[in-house]
Amino acid sequence: MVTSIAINNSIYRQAVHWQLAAKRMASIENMASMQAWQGVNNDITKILKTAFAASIDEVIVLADNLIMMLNNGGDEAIAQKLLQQLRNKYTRCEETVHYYTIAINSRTNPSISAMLRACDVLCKRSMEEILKPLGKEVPPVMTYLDKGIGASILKAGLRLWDGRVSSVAAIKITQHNLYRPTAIIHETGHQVAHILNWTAELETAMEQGLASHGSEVSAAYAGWVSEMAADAFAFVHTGYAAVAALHDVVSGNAHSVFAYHRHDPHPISYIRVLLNIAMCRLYFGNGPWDKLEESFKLTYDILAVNPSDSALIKKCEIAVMDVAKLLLSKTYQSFSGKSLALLIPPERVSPQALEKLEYLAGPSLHTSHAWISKECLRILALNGYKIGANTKDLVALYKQQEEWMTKLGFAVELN
Amino acid sequence: MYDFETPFADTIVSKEDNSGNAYTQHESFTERFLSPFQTTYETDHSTTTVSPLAEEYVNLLSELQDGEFMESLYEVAGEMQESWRSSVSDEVAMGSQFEPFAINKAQQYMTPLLNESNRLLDAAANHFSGTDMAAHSEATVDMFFETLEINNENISPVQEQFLGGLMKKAKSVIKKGVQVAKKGLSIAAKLSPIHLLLNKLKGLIKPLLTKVLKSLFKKLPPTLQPHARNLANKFLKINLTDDSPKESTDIESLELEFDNHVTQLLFTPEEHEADYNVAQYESSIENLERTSGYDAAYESETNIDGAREKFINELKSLRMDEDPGPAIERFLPVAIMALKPVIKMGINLIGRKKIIDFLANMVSNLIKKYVPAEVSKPLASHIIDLGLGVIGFETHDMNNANVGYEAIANTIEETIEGLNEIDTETMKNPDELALHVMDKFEKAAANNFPPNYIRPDLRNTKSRATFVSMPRATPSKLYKKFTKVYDLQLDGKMASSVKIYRSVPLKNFIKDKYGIEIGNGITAKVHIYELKKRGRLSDIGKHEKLPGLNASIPRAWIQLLPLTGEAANTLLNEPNLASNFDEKSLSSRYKSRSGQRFYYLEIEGAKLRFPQTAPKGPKPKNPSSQQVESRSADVQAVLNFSTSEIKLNYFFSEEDALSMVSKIAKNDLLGIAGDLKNSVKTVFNDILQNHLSSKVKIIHEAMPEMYMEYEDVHDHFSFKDVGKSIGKSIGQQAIKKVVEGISNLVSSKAYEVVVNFLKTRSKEFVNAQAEPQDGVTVSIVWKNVQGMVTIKNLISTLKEGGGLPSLSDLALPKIGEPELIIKGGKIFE
Repeated sequence: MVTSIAINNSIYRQAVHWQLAAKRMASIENMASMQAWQGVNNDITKILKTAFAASIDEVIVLADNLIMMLNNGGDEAIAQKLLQQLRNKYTRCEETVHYYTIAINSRTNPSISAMLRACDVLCKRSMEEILKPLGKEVPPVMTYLDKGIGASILKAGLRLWDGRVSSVAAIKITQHNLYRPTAIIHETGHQVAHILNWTAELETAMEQGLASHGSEVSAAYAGWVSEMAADAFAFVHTGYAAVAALHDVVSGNAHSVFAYHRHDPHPISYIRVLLNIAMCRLYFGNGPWDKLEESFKLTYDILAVNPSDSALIKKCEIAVMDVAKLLLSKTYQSFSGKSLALLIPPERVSPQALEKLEYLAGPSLHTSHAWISKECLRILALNGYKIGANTKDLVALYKQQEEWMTKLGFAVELN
Repeated sequence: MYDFETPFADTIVSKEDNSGNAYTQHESFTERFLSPFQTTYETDHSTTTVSPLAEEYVNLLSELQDGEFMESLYEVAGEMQESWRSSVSDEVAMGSQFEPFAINKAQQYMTPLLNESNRLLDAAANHFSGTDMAAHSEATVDMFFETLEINNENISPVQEQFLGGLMKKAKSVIKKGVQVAKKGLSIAAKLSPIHLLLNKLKGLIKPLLTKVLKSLFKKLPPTLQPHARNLANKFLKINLTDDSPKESTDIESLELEFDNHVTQLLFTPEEHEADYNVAQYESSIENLERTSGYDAAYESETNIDGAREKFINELKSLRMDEDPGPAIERFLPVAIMALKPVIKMGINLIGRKKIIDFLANMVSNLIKKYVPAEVSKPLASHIIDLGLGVIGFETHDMNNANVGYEAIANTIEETIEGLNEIDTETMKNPDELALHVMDKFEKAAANNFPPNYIRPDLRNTKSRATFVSMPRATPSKLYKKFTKVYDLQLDGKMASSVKIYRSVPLKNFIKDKYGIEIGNGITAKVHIYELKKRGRLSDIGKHEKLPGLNASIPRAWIQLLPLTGEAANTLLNEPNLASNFDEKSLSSRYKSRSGQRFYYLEIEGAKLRFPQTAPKGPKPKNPSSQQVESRSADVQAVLNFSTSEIKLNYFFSEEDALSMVSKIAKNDLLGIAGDLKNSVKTVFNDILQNHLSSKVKIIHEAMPEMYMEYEDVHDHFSFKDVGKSIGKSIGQQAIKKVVEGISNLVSSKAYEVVVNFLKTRSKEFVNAQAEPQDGVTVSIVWKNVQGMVTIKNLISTLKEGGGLPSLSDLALPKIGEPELIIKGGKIFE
């Protein structure tokens, strides 16, 4: 009897502990600073706060029920079971809340917040251009800053740790790429492919369309479709800017560039860069990507390195132009019978088109809020193109990028 | 006892004919007024003897006047109000404790603002201390003010904008002092030392903010507000005869009064005189309260809400068949309190009790059928049913008859408000008064009862919908919301034809504010609102919870657009939902009045743009603090009679400027001409011609109020001095015609001037658009205009009450080749 009371007390103590912890978590300002919250777009704040509240409420209700049950002398075994449920629910809820609050807290000051809000706008705009004509809802998106080499996405529509479906896409932008953020468009490409269910169709297209290159090649490409789809999406929106930025991100040591990990959705980096260059060549002809390819191949000389998968790599290299065509020019049911290049014409971000844009807008392109708001994606493409094609004035180009993105970030309503 | 056909659909009480117009139709005197201009031009031979002080005075006054400062005062007022509203859920329940509490909260809000303004002005005073005006140049003054930074964490973005405007005024007044000192004019001896000027300026800020606070409590009776001319008269000693009180929007007149005191400080070298100036400004608050004190119960902020609640409770507790007359009689005096002072004086003159008894009897008879619980409960259910999806009724609203009684109270209040439109003579005649009250009652009932309760010929709407008082959560009702939201398919043609404020097409508003091109059409939801007596448009922005219109969006309320006849007809096909907007209330969104209706277009994905521009005042603490939406096209004409200069300022919105720049780059001359034709000949021309009173700034020592809109006042109580009034009217009309003539002349030249300019100097336009400001201002300046002196003398004569001079030799000024200046941003004077 005494033992039973002790166990009940122990369960009670723990239940109160988790209940109070959940209540502290419910005070959202405890999790992310007010300044950080203020830096987030109002619509997203509302969605997140509502989602957090619902998730935390479930924990609190469970704790309340357990405590009530213990107060009414409930069954010890059931109480123990409920306590375990409560712990699990709390930790899962905390995982979700923390994921977003860490993201929100990356908006450390007004300047960073403005840059990230600009990234939010770029992401949203990139998705709108394809999803709206296809009659699909554009999910809310929030970018955040973190360490690392590559960007990532927690897609909207996925099930989160707390069992709820994420309603906001959370995209990580890396610290080093904040002023050259074409990678976020690659990430929205993942989101778009998910919404349109393009990857499944693309996989079949690779298997069938590359049959002439052999099953090994077609199977390899079919395994990389999700990443290639995202690359293609970034390319149609930002052209060579995305290609040059991708090149810089994957240019690690020779071993990593040639490494082939089966079941890794990322293509072999060597092939991936060449594929992106092929996309430029397919739609833009010759350009600075020719020199990029030359230097890339000299830096990563396949003959000199002789990687273990060199045979596959060489076969895949031969197929890159066909893959580029399959990605950009082939029609898909997911796109209502159109091709990606028809929905978002890459010609709009060809060097000639970008130069024309710069000429038409004149010096106001980077200062006028009307230009920035209207053409933010193409301005991203233009700056990225210049950074990718030149070695002159790089510092000034990065500065210019910071300035126009700051303007874009401040032009959207705050909390 | 009067017996009328009620506005209600179900009860025809009698068939008395009320279709005749009870008011005598007077032929408009002004319509018969001929243009004073002859068709030939005169040579300029006139001279003027106006003192240099008067000229510098009005020029400085003109420089100080700043639309953005007025906007910041409006926003400061909103934040002040929020400082107490955010901590009180029921103002009415606090009773007499409410006002002291609110004042205390407002003072807490003001403290950091006053500290920071004092710190900034002290910094300026220290910098300029020990030197006279002539020791500085305008450039060094500019340079100093650029170094100022806001250094207080507790300053809100709105307060930062206020400080920016304040520092701009301080800078202008110092620069004017420098100009005068350097000119070596005799009046230089009358200049105040800079540090003294700045120290005394500090003393004006607290009274200014206190007046803003008082305006929220309606403690500044509109017809008794001090007028710029009276203030200027005392100082300039010019012989202006018109000392009648003028009606103007609170916030606007506050700026004008403040500017006059600031200007006077510059020309007050003695400290004791400057102290007197400040003391006079401070004491004007108390004087005003005393002036209005004759009416002991001058409208307190919560009086009407408290009285309405009490009235509703009394109606609820009436026994079956009990007469609601006594309850109405008790409610009426408070409703009457909210009337204009001049009407209240009229009521007192005729006999307060007599009028109240008359109104109570009449209104009671009209409304009593709806008071019993068995009628008011279904009425409430009906209204709740209509508004269920849109209003967001509180739980406590759902199960009682309050909503029905609220409709009754609103109907009575609005009927009484209608008395503002009559004169004392009409009030003296019971028949005419009854007809007027009946007319207003019909309209008020149609505004507040569901349409099926109203006779078809009186209904506001073709839909099953009505207006409901908002916000629901508190007894203080600030606005009304229509229970129907309209779905709208808006195309370019419709959006071009519907004009919003300043005659700007709706199409431009959507493009400039949201960056949305209408193209082949967009869909939108249209939400309708009506402003109540105590409400401000910003209250709607704060209390609505729509995705694009809610408390979290700064200045969300600027998206509320006037529901004019044109808008109601074109957008909603509901002409009867329109409300009355005169030229004045359409000239600016800050001049809205109770009873006016507004619409908000909810467009998917539309977000207000707040361009980040270079700060105009001290550097803000927080770079994100600029919260001014992107501006739409605007125009201003400045007639400076002291320098014989005419200027046209054309503001191209950023979107319009972008379109021009693209065409300039393509060398698309046809496209440029098309854009300019649309802007200059259509949009700018419409703005100027439709709003001469507010868009033409007149710098003339006899017009320190600068705009004609302050003249467009029809005094209800003018019977004492009919002759003078007619004389005044002739003078006003003459000035108006002169201004109209000049404006037509210069704007007809403008298109050609701008087109020619862009052919040769388009690069300047491109560079201006690239400046980190919102939009581009193109200023066309005609200097040393022949004929201005003659017109100047004419205005002086008219203003000094010298009668209408001979107009036979008056000609339009002769304008030659203008200069053209293009700058980034909106640069109006």
